[in-house]
Order: sequence, then structure tokens, then C-alpha cells
Amino acid sequence: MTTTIHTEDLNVYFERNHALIDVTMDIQNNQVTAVIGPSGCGKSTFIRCINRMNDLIPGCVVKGKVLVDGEDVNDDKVDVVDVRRRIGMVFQKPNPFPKSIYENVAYAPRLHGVTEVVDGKVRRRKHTKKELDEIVERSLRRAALWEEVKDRLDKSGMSLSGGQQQRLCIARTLSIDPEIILFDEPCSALDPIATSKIEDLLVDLKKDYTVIIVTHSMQQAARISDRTAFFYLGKMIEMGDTKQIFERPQMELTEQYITGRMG
Amino acid sequence: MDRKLKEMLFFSAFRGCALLVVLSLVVLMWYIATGGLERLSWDFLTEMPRRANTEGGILPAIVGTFYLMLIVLAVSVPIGVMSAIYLVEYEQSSWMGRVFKLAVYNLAGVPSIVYGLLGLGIFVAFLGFGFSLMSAGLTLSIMTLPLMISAAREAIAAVPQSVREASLALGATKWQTIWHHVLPYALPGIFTGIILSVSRAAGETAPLMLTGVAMSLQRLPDGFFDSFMALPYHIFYMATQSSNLLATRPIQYATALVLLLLVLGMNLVAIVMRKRYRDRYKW
Amino acid sequence: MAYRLRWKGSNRRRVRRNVNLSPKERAIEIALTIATWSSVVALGAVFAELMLGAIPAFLTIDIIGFFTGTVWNPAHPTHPLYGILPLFVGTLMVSFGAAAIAIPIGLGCSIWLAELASPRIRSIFKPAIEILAGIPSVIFGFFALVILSEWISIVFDPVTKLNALNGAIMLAVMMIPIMVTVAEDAMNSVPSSLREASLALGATRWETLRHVVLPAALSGIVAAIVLAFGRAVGETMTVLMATGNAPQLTFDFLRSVQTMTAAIAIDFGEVVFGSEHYHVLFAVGLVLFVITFAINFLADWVVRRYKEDY
Repeated sequence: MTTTIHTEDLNVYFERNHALIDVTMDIQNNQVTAVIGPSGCGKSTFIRCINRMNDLIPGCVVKGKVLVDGEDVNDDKVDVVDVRRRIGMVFQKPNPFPKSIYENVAYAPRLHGVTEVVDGKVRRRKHTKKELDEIVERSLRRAALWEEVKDRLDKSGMSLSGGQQQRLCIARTLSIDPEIILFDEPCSALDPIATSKIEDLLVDLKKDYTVIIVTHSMQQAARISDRTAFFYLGKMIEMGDTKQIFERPQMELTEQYITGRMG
Repeated sequence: MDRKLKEMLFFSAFRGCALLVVLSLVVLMWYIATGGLERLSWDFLTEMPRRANTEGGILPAIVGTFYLMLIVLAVSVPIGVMSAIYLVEYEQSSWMGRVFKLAVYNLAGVPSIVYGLLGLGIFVAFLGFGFSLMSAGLTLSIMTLPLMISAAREAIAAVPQSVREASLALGATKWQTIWHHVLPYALPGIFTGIILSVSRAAGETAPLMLTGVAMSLQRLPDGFFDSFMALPYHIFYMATQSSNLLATRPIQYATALVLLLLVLGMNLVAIVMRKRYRDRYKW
Repeated sequence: MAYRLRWKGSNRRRVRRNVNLSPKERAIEIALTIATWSSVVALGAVFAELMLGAIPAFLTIDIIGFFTGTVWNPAHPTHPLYGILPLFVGTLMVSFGAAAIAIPIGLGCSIWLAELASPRIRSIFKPAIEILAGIPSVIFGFFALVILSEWISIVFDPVTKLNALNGAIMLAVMMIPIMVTVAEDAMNSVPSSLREASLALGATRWETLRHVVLPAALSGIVAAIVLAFGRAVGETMTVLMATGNAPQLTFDFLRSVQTMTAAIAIDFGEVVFGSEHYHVLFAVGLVLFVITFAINFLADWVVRRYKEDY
């Protein structure tokens, strides 16, 4: 296992509110890492540092290092657009574009085009229709949605059920083949059946991607993750193999949380 | 008094009020319609006025109003929509935003005649556009700007943040996000704002009186720096100052009907559009 | 953790900037900034121009006389008198008269629309009212001049056929759609859980309305009234055509009056460019501007100050 993400002394401030305090942690390649903790503990804030989504929040200041493959993505000189292309994100509430299913998935590939090397020169061009069709099919298959929607790709993404919408959002993220995918409580708006489909999918995705999931459900973290980090009041209290965290927590706070005496 | 009786009395009074409102507006439109239909004809719309407006049609007034709407469209729509985009998506300095909100919200309520003073001082005199279509059109453009901006602003701000996040998280740039997602979904709302603003400009009279509307012309305006006639002023002039007030009543009614149909028609389109748009996107 | 993003309306806070903007992105941002500043400048010009136009008047005429003079006779060849009082009183009479008629009727109508009308009727009535709010004022003025004044003559036998009452009634008809739209919105935004809570305690619908809905919607209702009043003060064409345009200081609703707006509109037809009279009219415009600006500010303040968030 190699380390993909390494954060060092990560601090986040929302105006006077110190939301994340000195977080230093490692996230491994091709694993599912779960981030758990009570509401307001900074777990969402943490993963939003990784693809710089916190930039959108007025008054938010992020200090410290977020090394992704050795490159500090929190550096001012880094192109955030490029960071977000490489690090995908799936949100709490399914948010498909009010466009067709096909367009939802084809949007990002179209945006970025194909970069290829011809005669030693790097060139960017548009996708052909056939290439796009392939990407859409591959992404939808990977998100386990293809069979359900292949006959109605031209229907609006909003017409799908909640769980399908969330899988569409996953397919949309997969369409540009990111290295890392961040999931911000992806199942909190879904029913149990849709949730279990997404969980299966997440476990399957770790073969090809590094997956980080924020969840308020300890059961979910225990079911799907390899490693778990516990956050409390803006600090990372403990991180370790999921089994160890749930069976033999080292810190008292962690134990209180997972045994339900705090939350 | 008995509680039930009290309720009945009050509620009847409210119903009466509503009835009165409907009645007053129906009466008003009924009079304009019946009075106007008497004189309204194809020739009335397409002919030049003759004999100091006492005969003939109102073509120059229709064309003048049309040109005014055109200037408003060309000036206040791009500036208004761009300002709205900036305010919602880019603006972040404290005082500019505050100054802007103050200006936009409060200037929407400034009387139109005051905008006329502005047009007279700046466009007619200072910039030397004279009493012309251009002076009047630019004055109306500034007058409609606050309306335009707040309508567009509302439409853009109504696009949920989650759509922007989805797009940005896929590696779209800010402008790509605005252009591909925010604007398309805000467009019907923006259009509604545009139509309402332009129809407001079309019916406005007072600013024209200070920026050079003509009482009678037997030709169409020759370019944007020529003098012009306009429908609303034509009504005012014919009803209060023309040479034979009573004899030209049918012309007055018919002109009023034309203006009423134009403005109400545009408002109807705008409101139907907004309704359908609201039904289409339920975020 | 649920995020409350403040993409818009987030004044005091800066958003982290992307330093890697492409030239196109940067150009767009600059273009948008320029457009925004041009609208700021254009709107600021309204005020600047009024000041510039009005200052010469304040230099040559007696300022106290301007605000306290009871005679408005600017066209007098040798001794023009610029007392704004007759115009000011004219404006107040017409707009307060209109408010006195429009407030009860408009409120009754908005209550009916928000609380009593069936959803189907409301879905027709509400857009219809909004469409009617767009009727050009010159059409109301025309109606007042030709029809309403005749009716008033029959009922009241006034001194002059075109009088303050005529203007007030017509303005009231104009104000009502604006009032109803805003006030109905305010009542509609009172959550039905509040109504249900009151009804479940055994209150009648009227008692619920009186003690629960109306207090909750009060700020919106007040704002509606103030906004409509501001519109009445600034209205030009209707009063110009309806009130007879005689700048006399009177409190009799059956006599002709002239409002500030009407004086500006009419006098500019014959004024010499750059003359004292010309600048005095700008001064009248400035007074009008200040009044309406203050009214709008008040409406805005009321909404902000007393707004209840549900």
C-alpha cells in the first residue's frame, strides 16, 4: 500500500470559528477510508480541503499542507480546476444536472477533451461521438446504473429515483477517471435499499480508485471501510484499521462515541 | 358579538373588497376597449396622422415606441444581466455590494419624472444628443436598469448552490459553470424580467416629455438622433392639448387601447413564462 | 455536517481566489466588473445630475422662501414666485387621499386572496393582479380625465371638474395591485402550521387571522403600504391628467391642485433652458427624489427590522 494523501497540520477557519485543528493524517491508495464523528466535528470540512471545495465558502481560510501524490494541492499556485478534475466528489444530496442522463455523464469529458500525444506533441481535441458514447456506457456500467437506464438515456436525470440519481452522480464523477473520489455522506438522503447498492458500489470502486467517505453512520463505516478516522470538535482523535477502531479503540473519546455514550 | 357572526361580517367585507378591485379594473378596461374598438382598424395602425393628428393613423407613435423598446433592450439588458451575474457570482467586497444594493433597491422607486430630469441634463444637454430617440431611449434604459438587475439577480440566485458545486467538482471553471449551468437554468427568469422591464419602458410617459417626444410628425424617425412620437405621449397630448379634444376622443381611446394591448400582452407572456418555468424546475 | 454556503450576499467575507485563471476567465471577470460599475455610475448619475441642476437654483433664489412660500408662480414675467408648498400639499393630499382609499380595500383584497380564495381562483387572480400592475399610468390618467371626472361631477358637484379627489381615487386604483401583490406574499409566507396551531385551539378563522396571521405578516403588510405610497407620491401622468393642474394652496379635495411631479412635467414644456425656473424645477425634482428615496428606505428597513424567518 502506498500513501496517496498526506495532510500536515491542516487548519481551517471560518471567520473566527476554528473548524479544523492540526489534522495530520495519511490516506492509503486503493482503500476505502471512512471519516466518522458527530455533527459539526469537521469531517465534511476535512474532505472538502482535499479538492479545495472550501474555496467556495466566503471567509474560509485553509492553512497547512494537503499532499496528493506528493504535490501540495492547498498551495495558492496550484490550479484548483485541475485539482478538482483529478479528485472527484459526490455530495450528500444527489445533485444531477437538470439535463438528460447522457448529458450528465458526458458533460465533464466534453469539458476537458482528449489529451493525446501525436508526433511527440501534446494535443487537445474534442471527443468523437463514439468515444463519448463509450465513456457514458462505461461510466454508467461502473456505477451499476447502465442496465436500469440504457433505454432512456435521453430522459432527464431528475426523473430518476433518489438512489439512481446518486449513482448517476457517481457515474458523472467516474466519467473523467479521477484518482481519488470523495463521498460526502452519500447515503444520508437515501432509503436502506438504495444505500446498500451504493455501499456495494463503493467497495467495488476501491479496486481502481482511492475512496474517502464521510459518514454519520458507524455501521456503514464498519461495513465498507478499510480504515477509519474519528473526528471530534475539529480534531482528528484517532485513525486506524476499521476493525481496530471499532473493536479496540485506543482513545477514550473514540470508545465513548462508538459505544453510543456520546454523539 | 357572536364569534361566528363577527367572522362572517369580516369575511364578507374582504370578499367585497376583492370584488371592488376586480370591478374597478374591469370597468376601466371595458371603457378603454369599447371606446377604442370604434376607431381601431388596420389603417389606424399603419397610416400617418393627418391634419394635426385629427385624422389618419398613429404609425409614427407605434414605430417610436418600438424604437424606444429596442434601445432599452440593447442597453439595459446586457448591462443589467452582466451586473446581476457579477453581483451573485463574483462580488465579494463589502462596501461595493452594499452601495449597489442600496442603489438598486431604492432607485427602483424613484419617480420616472426624476429620470426625465436626468435625461434632460445629461443626454439632451451635456452629451448633446438633443431631443431625440437616443436621449429618451437611454433615459428609459437607466430607469429600467434597477428593475432589470433585481429580476436577473433573483433568477440567478435561485439556481441552487448544489448545481454549481456539482459542476465545479468535475473540474469546470467558474465561467464554464455559470455559462453551462447557472445561466441556462436562470434564463426563463431573466427573460421574464426583460419583458417586464421593456413593457414598463413602453408605457412610460413622463421621462419622454423632458427628453423630446414630438407632438405630431408625419414621417417616421430618420435614425436614432431624430425626433419621434410615442404611444403614451400621444394619448396624453391628444387628450389634453390637441386642437379639438372632443372630436378626437375616438383617436384617444383607440391609441389607449393599442398601448394597453401592447403592455398587457407583454406582461401576460412574461407571467405565463415564469409560471411554466417554476413548474419545470423544482429543485 | 450540513453546509450553509453563502455564495451570494456574502459581504464581509472574501472567497479564496484562483490565481490560475485562464486569460478568457480573467477577461470575462473584467468585463462583468466593468458592466457592474457602469450601472453604479449610471444610477449614481441620477443623483449627481439632480444636485448639479438644483444647485444654481439654491444660489439665486431664497431657500427659505422656496420651502415656505405659499405661491407657486414661476412664469410671472417680473416677479416669479417659487414657493413649493402648494405643490407639496398637492402631492400629499393626492397621495394620502389615495392611501386612505387603497389601504382598507387593498388589505381586504389581499386577505381574501391569501386566506379565503380557493387555490384555483387564486392561481388566476394573482397573476391577473400582477399583469394589471403593469398598466401604464397614462391610461389611468386618461380614464380619470374622460370618465371618472364625469362621475365625480355627478355625485359631488365640485368647484372644478378635475380635482384632487379625482386624482386620489385614480391613484388608489393604481396602488391596489402593487399593495395586494406584496401584502399577499407576506401573508402567504406565514407557515400554515401556525394557522393550524391556532385553529386546533378552537379559534375561529377570523380570530386566527386577526391574532396569528396578521401580526406575523405585519412587516410585509407595512412594507406593501409604504411601497405603494411611494409609488403614489412619484406618480406623474395620472395626477397630471386628473387633478386639473392649478398650483393653489388648498385642502379642499374638490378643487384643482398641482403636484410636484406634474409641475415638473408641465413647466418643462415652456421653460427656457438654463434659466432660474429651469433650475428651480431641478430643485423640486431633488425634493421629490429625497422624499421617495426616504420612503423606499423606510420600507426596506421595516422589512429587515421586523422580518420573521420561518
